[in-house]
Amino acid sequence: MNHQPFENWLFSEEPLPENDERTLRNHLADCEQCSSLEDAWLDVANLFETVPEVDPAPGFVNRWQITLEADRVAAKAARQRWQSWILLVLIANGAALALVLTGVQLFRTYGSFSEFVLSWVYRAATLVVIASGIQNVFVTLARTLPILVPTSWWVGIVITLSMSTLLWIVSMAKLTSLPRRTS
Amino acid sequence: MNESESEWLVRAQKGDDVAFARLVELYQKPVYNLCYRMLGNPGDAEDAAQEAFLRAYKNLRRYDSDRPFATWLLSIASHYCIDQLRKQRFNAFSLDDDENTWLEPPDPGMGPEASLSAQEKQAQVQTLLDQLSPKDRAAVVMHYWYDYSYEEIAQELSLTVSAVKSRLHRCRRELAGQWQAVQAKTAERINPERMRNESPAF
Ligand SMILES: [Zn+2]
Repeated sequence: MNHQPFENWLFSEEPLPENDERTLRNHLADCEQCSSLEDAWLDVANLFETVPEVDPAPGFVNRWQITLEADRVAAKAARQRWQSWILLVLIANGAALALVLTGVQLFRTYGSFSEFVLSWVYRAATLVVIASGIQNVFVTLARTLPILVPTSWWVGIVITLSMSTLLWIVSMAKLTSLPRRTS
Repeated sequence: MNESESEWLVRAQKGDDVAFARLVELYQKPVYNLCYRMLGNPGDAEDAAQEAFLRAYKNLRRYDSDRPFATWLLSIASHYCIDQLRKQRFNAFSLDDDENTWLEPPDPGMGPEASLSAQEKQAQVQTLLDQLSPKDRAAVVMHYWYDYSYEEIAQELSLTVSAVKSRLHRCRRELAGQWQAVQAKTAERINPERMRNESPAF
């Protein structure tokens, strides 16, 4: 048997014409499949009607204020990140421009590329020589100083050094934690 | 809309956070309840309700005062919930979530005639609603708990009125079938032997 038309009537919210309603009731009286479906729907409808409303946990408005504040902080951080990126791009562009201009200027000064490279190699070699000289002085000092200087002096030097390092760290921390100006 | 509410609205639109907090206080229950029916658990419902208020707050300038504020707010909440459900379904498919848990009847020891506690009823409602697609669920929630007309649902879900009617018709059929399935499963749990003897061999 085709139950489809009866199912359609069963789940329709529009009121049925009297004839159809009677046909449906007659069918439901005989057909267990359709009547059990009707019972099921009546159960569901009853459940929907009687289920209590669900309330949020107490303090919803307080949590709302926290949500709003958190959103503002996040938006501000995003804005600052964006501004830092713009700044970084500007600096990078400026640096690239400066580099190109310097290169052009150097090229003009030295005339040819090989001359330019040679002069820089010479400068680098000079730097290495100076550095090794300084290193020698330090090595010699490191070998002789411990014998010449008394222990109490060393203690003094170490304390002075660590105090000034500490002072430096503290002042750097203070400087960096100052509120950033964004505009 | 009462006097103080429209006053709060005007003040909130001018950037008064205290006035908006009053509106949150006033509408927290309907908004939360809608999110709970849509998403099925308190945690997700809380997040969705907070997000709905945040979106309303940010778009308050665009609110058209010809429309009831509650309708506008619930519309934001329902759209957010539909999006969340679609994301959840997508994740469930990709992670192969055990969808069968949704079919579990909430309490095995419960007959149809037993009087149900509020909590059991909530669980039963959610088991039923979980079977519907996000848009179907929104239509059912608006129709049965928020007294939306077919026209209002059609407007909310970008459907025609006749599409809403046939959708709700199909949903009722599905819900009744789902109810039968849950009842059968419950009966089987209570008395597996009898069920095996009664049901014909497949
Ligand atoms: Zn039938």
